[in-house]
Amino acid sequence: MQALRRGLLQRGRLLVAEAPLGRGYATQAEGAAVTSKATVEKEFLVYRWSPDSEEPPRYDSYKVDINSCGPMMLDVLLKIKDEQDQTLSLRRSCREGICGSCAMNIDGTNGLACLTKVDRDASKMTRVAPLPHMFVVKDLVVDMANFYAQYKHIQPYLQTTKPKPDGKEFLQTKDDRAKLDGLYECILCACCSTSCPSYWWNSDKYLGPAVLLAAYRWIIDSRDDFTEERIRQVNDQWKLYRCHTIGNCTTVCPKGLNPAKAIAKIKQIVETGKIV
Amino acid sequence: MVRAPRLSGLQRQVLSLYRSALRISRAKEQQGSLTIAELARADIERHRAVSRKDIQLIEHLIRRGRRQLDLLGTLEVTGMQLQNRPRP
Repeated sequence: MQALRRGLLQRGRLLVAEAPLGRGYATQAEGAAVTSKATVEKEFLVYRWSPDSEEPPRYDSYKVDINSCGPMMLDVLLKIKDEQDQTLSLRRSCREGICGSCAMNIDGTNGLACLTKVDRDASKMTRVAPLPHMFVVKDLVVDMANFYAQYKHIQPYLQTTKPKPDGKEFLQTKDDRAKLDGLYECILCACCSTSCPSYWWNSDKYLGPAVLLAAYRWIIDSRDDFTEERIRQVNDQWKLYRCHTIGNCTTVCPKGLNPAKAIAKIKQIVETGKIV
Repeated sequence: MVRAPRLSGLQRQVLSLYRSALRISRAKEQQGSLTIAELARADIERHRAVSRKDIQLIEHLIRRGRRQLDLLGTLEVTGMQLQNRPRP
């Protein structure tokens, strides 16, 4: 153990001695990795608006070397924030597509910044904007209050009348569980809802694909006893039938889900009265 | 008789926001000394200088206020306390 520690110390000293003027060796190693690749400067236009300034919204241009940066849009944005403009505001958390925080509009398509690859073509500019038709709080941060209120409205939790059969948990068969696949994965990033023209014009009344997908998830859950009430609640000219099967939601979903199909299924249930 | 000035829709929205703040404040007041009403008043006074033509900003502030009020109006909130008084 002692010998090992001494060895590490010596190595550390050696490396520090090599580094010029007290620079850490981590940055040196990074620098070496960068110089092995050619610098490719790509221009990014990022939507900026702050409530604290009187200026109207604008697109700021940032040049980023995409070879000294991670492959995803989020890496670029964080690099901009780290090195060029600390005032840039964006939501991000998990950087691996499970939290849904970094939903934004990249080159005209909604997606998660952490799952969207940067277009390597440096001759083209990439435009980053907040989710369309949402109220902007600042820069790329949008007000999700209405979206969350709608989600709350469908009561997205198990509602039962009977007690737990074994006193511990509600069981379901493997087949019943399989029905929830492709629905429970939704992370509520709002990419689908904000890509839907119908939701753009009627977001106050139409629930939107994400929320309807969640509604369908609870309608077909075998353990839930309030299926009828759920169907009745969602069966509404505005809440459900503002969906005109446009299908943007399915195209854009970063998790590869199919909200359009779920909505079609709800409509089918409403029309036939049978759970499908 | 002095007729009340005719208000724009936006002005009416601001006033209705302030009045709902007063209403919520009255419901919660028994808890703390500095009230929601005072906070709302300070917030509005702070933005008194905002140009009446800056509709985008005013709408933003109204939305922010509504969001704060929604939170303060929930049953879980019994009262509130401020660490630092907002600067005028």
